[in-house]
Amino acid sequence: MAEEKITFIEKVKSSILAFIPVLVLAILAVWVSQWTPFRVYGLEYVFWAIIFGLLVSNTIGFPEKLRAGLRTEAFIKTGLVLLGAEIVFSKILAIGVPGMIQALLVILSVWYFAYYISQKLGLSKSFSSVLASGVSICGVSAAIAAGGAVKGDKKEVAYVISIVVLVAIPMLLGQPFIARALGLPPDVAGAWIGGTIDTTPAVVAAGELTYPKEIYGEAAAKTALTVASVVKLSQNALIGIVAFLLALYWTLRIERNPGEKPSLLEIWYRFPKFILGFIFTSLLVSTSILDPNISEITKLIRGWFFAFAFVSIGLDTNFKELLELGGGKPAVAFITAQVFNIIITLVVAYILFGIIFPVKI
Amino acid sequence: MGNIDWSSLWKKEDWWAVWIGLMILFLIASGVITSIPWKFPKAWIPL
Repeated sequence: MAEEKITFIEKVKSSILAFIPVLVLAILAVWVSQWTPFRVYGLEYVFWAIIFGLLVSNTIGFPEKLRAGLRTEAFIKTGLVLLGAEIVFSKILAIGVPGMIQALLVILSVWYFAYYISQKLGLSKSFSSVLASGVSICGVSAAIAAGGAVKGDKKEVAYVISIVVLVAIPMLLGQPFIARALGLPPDVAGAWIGGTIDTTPAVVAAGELTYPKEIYGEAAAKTALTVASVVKLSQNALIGIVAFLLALYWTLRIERNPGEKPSLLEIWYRFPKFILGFIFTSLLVSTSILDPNISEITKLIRGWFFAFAFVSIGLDTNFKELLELGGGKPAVAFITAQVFNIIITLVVAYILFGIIFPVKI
Repeated sequence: MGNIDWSSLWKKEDWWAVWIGLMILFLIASGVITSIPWKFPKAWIPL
């Protein structure tokens, strides 16, 4: 008990200590982004927050002790709960339904492709499952959930988490640029980004970077961010189901031990609960229980939570350390599957959001 | 069937995000946040 208390206190202490540099860099990023020459080119606070974080962690370095206190996921999740207050519930449904269809199609095809490639390259069945879940669903939490389901090696799970984090950075900086170059409508661009980039904070960052408000206007900027976020949340919501099915397959087919069938509660256990908060805040505003004008203030506050998350992404990414992971077969499998993911999701997003269910916020 | 672990309501980061988000909404709705005379320079607005 005493040990648990110390751990908790230390966790809080390290979070507070790590928050100080995060806050300073976030203020700096927001301040720099207001300079007119940068605004003209659409270099918003998102870009600077990630760049400043990356600069610190890859030059002077960010101490390991403080790094453990970075709360990237907590910042982005709180920001997303607040974002719910800015989106009418009918819009969440309008995006969520095609988002769920896209998630199902993409997860199934990318999971099998990644598993197949990994097997062809000679990776173990458990490593292939963890890697396939990391690429196809949502990176870190999916890799952990799949690792638990197939009782995978901790090192393999750690490897997939590291490569997910490494690959997310070029994707979040590159995909908005490609989306604009291809002239994708904001909803298609958002759905493509939300369906391909693995980590939720990176999806939100790319969603913000895609159609900068200064250049493309408020509607395009908000549509890209909202569709990217809701599509990602639709995908995140499926983690529990995938983990359950994987565990079921593993115990019945691989280990052939029907006595150890996984519990259905696994689906609820793995479900990302902050999605409930996102839906709830949207309902509060959509039903006028709360004044819809409240979103004028929540927008400002969630902007700061996002800025903290984006700085944390940068501070948590050390390229040298990640490159030391080495290439090898797992990296080839991951990158090949990710390229497949990028292409297939673009096609599916275009059909669903560009033709069948176009969305405008 | 296993039991639901209620302690996750205050232990898990996911739930914390929900509570903090709702607390901020409540503080805005009850006028606490809006009654503070925030004087943010424009440069502090991350949007």
